[in-house]
Amino acid sequence: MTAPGPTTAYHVHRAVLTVIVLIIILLTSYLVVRGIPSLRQWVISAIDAVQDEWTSWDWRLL
Amino acid sequence: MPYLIGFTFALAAIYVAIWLTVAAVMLFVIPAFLIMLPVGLLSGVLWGCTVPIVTLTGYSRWQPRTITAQDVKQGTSNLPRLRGDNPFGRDPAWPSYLVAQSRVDLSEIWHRTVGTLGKGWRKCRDIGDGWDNPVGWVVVVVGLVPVYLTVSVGALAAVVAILLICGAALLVVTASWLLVVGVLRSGDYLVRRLRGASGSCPLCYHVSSLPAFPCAQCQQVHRDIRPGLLGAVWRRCICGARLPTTVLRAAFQLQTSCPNCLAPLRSGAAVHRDIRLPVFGPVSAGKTRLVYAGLRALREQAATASASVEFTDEQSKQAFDQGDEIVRDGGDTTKTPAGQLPTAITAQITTTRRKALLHLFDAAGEFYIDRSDNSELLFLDHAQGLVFVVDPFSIPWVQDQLGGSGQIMLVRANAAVDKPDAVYRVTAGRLRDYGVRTSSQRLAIAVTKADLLVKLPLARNLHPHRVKEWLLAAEMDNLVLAAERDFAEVKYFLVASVHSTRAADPMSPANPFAWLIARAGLQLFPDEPNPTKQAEEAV
Repeated sequence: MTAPGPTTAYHVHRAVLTVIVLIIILLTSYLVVRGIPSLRQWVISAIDAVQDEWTSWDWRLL
Repeated sequence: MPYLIGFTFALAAIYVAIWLTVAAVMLFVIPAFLIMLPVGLLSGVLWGCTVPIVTLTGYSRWQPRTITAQDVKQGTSNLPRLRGDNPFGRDPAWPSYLVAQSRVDLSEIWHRTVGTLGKGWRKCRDIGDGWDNPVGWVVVVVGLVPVYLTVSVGALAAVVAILLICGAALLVVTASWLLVVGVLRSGDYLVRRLRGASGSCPLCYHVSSLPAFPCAQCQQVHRDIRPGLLGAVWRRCICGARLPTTVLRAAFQLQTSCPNCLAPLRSGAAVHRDIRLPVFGPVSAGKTRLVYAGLRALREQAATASASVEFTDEQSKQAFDQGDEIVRDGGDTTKTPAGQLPTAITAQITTTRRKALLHLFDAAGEFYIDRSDNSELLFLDHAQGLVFVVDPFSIPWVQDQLGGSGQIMLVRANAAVDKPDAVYRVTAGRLRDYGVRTSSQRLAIAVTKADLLVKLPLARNLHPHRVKEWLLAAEMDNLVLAAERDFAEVKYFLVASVHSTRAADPMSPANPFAWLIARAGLQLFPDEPNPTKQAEEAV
C-alpha cells in the first residue's frame, strides 16, 4: 500500500520549529545590527593601532 | 673580493625582503584579517541559520527522511522496542512527530551543517593541492584557513544554539504530550477496569481486555489502540484514516475484533462488563431449553425492574427467536449438534446504572461425557460462573422410586442417560487440569424438568429453596459434596423451563442466571442479594 504523505501533525511541528529558528535569526540579526557600529569601531581602532605600531617604528634600529 | 660584494648584496636583499614582508603584514594582512574574521564569523552564523530553515521546510534534496507508518510496521522507525514477546510488532500507524520524526529532523540539521562545512574544508585542501609549489599551501594556511575557521566556528555555534533551543522546546511539548497520553491511557484503563470490561470472542472464546480494531477504511488491524507513541488523542492509520486512541472511544466508532482470531466481537465488547456463563450437563438434561427459557424469563423479569435484556447481534437474536418460539409453543428444542463448538448467545443487559454483555455458552452434552472431548471448551476457563444442569430423571434413586411403571414418565421427560455426578466429575477435572481456580468461582446447580417432577410423590419434599436437601435425599451426596468442595459458592435451583412459568416464580429459569449475574457484579433485580452490599454491611 502506498502510504500518504506526512500527517498534518508533522507539518505543524516543523512549522513551529521553523518559527522558533526564525525568531532566533531575527534576534541574532537585531543584536548584530546593534553591534555593527561598535564592531566597526573596534576594527578601525585595531587597524589604527597596528598601523601606528608600524609608523612609530624606531627606524634607527635598522 | 667579488664573493664579499656578492654576500653583502645578498644580505641587503634578504633584509629588504624581510622588511617588505613585515610591511605587508603590518599594513595589509593584519588589517585584512581584522576585517575578514568578523565577516567570516557572521557568514558562518548566517549559514548556521540557513541550514535549519532549509531542512525544516523540506527544500529540494535537503528534505529529511520521513518516518512513515510503513517504517513503524517494518520496525525501521527508531521507536523503542516493544516490551514482551509481541509477534505482531507495532500497529500500521504514523508515529507521533515528537517521538520519531523530531529526532530525525534535528539530527539531519546537524549532519547537514557538518557535511557542508566538511565540503568547504575539502575544497581548501584541493586548492592547496592544486599548486605545484609550497606557495599554494602558504596561501591556503595563511589566507583561507583562518577565515574558513571563523566561518566554521560561527556556523557550528549557530547550529548548536538552534538545536539546543529547538530541543528544549520539543522537550517541553513532549512533556505536555506525555501528560495527555498518561491521563487518557490511565483514564481509559481505570474506567474499563472499574466496569470489569473485557472482550470475549463468541467463536474462539479468547478473552482480552484489549481488543483489536480493523481500520474502517483499509481494514489494517490495530492491535493496541491505546494512547502512546502512535498518537495521544488520535492516530493516523497507514491509509491516512484518523482513528480514536482510547479503547472506549474506538469501540464506539470502529468494529471491535478478537485479537486472537480477528472475528468481530459483539457490540459493546471491551466497554461494558463482560459476563460469561457456560451451561453444562449431560445430553438431554435440558441445557438448551434452560438457556432459551432463562433468557426469555430474564427479559420479562428485567422489564418489571426497569431494566432490559436485548440482543445486539443478528446471530444471537435469530437463535433466541427460534428457541423462544419453541419454548412458547411447548415444543422440544432441537438437539445441539454433537462435536460442534457452540457460538455464544450474547445479550446486552441494561439497568438504570450499568450495562453488561451476557454470554451464554451451550455446548452439546457429549462434550461433557468424555474428558478427551472437552479440551476445546475454552469458554469454561474464562467463566465467572457456571450453570450445571441436573436432569432429575437421570438420577438412579428417582428411577428406582418410579419403578417399572415409571418408564412412561422417563420417556415423557426424555431423561438423560448419563448420571449427573459422572458428568460433573469430568467437567470439574477438566477445569482443574487447565488451571482454572474454581475456588473463586460460583456454581449454580439447576434441577430441571421441575414441571414434571413436582407432580410426582417422590418430590413431595422438593421445594425451590430446599433443592440441596432433596438432592442429598436422592443419594446425590457425592455431587453436592464435590461441588461445595470445588467451588467458592454453590446455589441450588429448581427450574421449570416452560412457557407457563411466571417471571418471578421460584422455579423461574431466570433464577440461576440472575444469581450468577449478580455475583458477577451486575445487580439485575432488586431482591437479589448484592454481595458487594452485603460485604459493606458486614464491615
